[in-house]
Amino acid sequence: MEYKDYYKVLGVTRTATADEIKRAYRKLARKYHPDVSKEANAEEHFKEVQEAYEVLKDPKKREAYEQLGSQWQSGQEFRPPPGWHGAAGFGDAGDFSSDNLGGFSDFFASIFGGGQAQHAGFQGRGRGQRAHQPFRQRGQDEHAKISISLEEAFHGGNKTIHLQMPEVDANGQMHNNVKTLKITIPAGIVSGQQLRLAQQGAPGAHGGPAGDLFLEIDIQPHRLYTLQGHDIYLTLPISPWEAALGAKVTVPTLGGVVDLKISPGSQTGQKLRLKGRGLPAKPIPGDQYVLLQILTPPAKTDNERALYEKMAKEIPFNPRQHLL
Amino acid sequence: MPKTEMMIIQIETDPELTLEEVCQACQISPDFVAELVAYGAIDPKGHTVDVWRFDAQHLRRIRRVLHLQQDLEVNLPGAVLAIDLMEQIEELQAQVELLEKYLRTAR
Repeated sequence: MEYKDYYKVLGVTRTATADEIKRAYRKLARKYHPDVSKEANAEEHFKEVQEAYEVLKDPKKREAYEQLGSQWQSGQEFRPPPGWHGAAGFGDAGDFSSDNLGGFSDFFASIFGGGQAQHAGFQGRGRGQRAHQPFRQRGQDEHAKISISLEEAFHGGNKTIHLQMPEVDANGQMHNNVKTLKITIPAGIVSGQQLRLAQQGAPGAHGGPAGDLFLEIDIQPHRLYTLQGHDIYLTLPISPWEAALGAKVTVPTLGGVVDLKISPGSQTGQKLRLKGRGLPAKPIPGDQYVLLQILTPPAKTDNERALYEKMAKEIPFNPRQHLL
Repeated sequence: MPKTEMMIIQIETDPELTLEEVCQACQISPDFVAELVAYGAIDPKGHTVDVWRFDAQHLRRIRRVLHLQQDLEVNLPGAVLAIDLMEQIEELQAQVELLEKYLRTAR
C-alpha cells in the first residue's frame, strides 16, 4: 500500500498547529465538497482531505502517525513497522464521517487498526448508530448514484450495475465487496429520481432484515439533446431558403425520426414543438422542442457570390433597422 | 451440481416515504426531521406529522443538509440557504448548457 502524507494533503507543515490544520481543512473541504465543488475528482479529493483531517485533528492519532517517522514520501510503498502498536486505543472510531460506500484508505486502516469496533465507524455518517446491539436490528439503508444515458432514460430497460459495498466479515475484517445488481430502469425517469431496492442495503444484525438500497438517477449529458424536466431541446440548423420559403425537414427524436414542417418566413431562435416526443411521463409525456438556427453557406465561387449580390440588390432588407 | 441462486428484488420508483422510513434512510431522528420542516429545508406532503409523506427530492435535500452540517460545519439555516442556492445554480446551469449547445451549432 502507499504511504499517505497527510500534511501534504492538507498543505500544512509538520509543525502546523491545531488551528492551522483546522483552517486548512475547512478551506479544502469547501473547495472539494462533492455537493458544492465542480472540480474534477472532487469526491476523491474530498475523501483524502477528510482522512488527513481525521488523523491530524486528533492529537492521539497525529502522534501515532508521527511515530512512523518523517522519512516517508507520499506514494511510497508502505509496510507498517514490525510490532506496530500505533493502532492501540483507536477502537472507538464511531465518529467518522465517511460516506457509506467507500471508507478511508488501506493505509489508514493499517495504522489505526483493523479491529471490529474500528470498522463500525465505516458503516455510515455516524448519526446515532450503535454497533453490535444484541437484538435483531434492521440493516442500514444505503444510498448510491447511478449514471444513465438519455437513451436509457427514454426507453427504460435492464441495466447491470456494480456497487462497492464495504462489508465486515466474521473476523471483523473489512472488505470492499462488489455487488452486482440487475435493475430495471423505468422509461421516462429523470435526474434526481430514486429507485428503492428493497433489502439490498446493509445486512441486518442478529437476524434482522437488510436495509434498503436507494439509487439516485443521474442522466449523462447528450451530444444532441438537452433535457429540461421531461422536455427535450434540439437545435435544428436550417438553410436560409428553407427558412424563407418553408420546407419539410427530417428531425431526429429519441423515438426515431419525424417530419417537421418549417413555415415560410421562419427565423433563428424560433421554437417549434413536437408534442409528446419528449421523455415518457404520466399522465402527459414531455415534448421535444426544436430551436431553429439559420446557417448561411459561404460564398466561395463566382457564381455563389453573384447569387448573394443579386439578393442584396433585389431583396430590400435592413436587419439593423431597430438599432439606429 | 452448481448452485443457482435466484434473487427477487423489489424495485420501487420514486417511493413515497413515511417519517419512519426517512429517519431510517438518512439515519436521523424524527425530531431532526421536524426541525428540517420548521426551517423550510423540506416541505413534506400532509399537514400533520403522522401523515407526512416524503419524496426523492426531500431525501436529496436532507442528505445535502447532513453533508453540509457534518463536513463543513454549517448550521441548519445556513445549510438550507446553501441548498436553495445550489438548486438555483443547477437550474441556471441547465439553461446555460442549453444555450451553449445552441450557440455551438452556429460556430
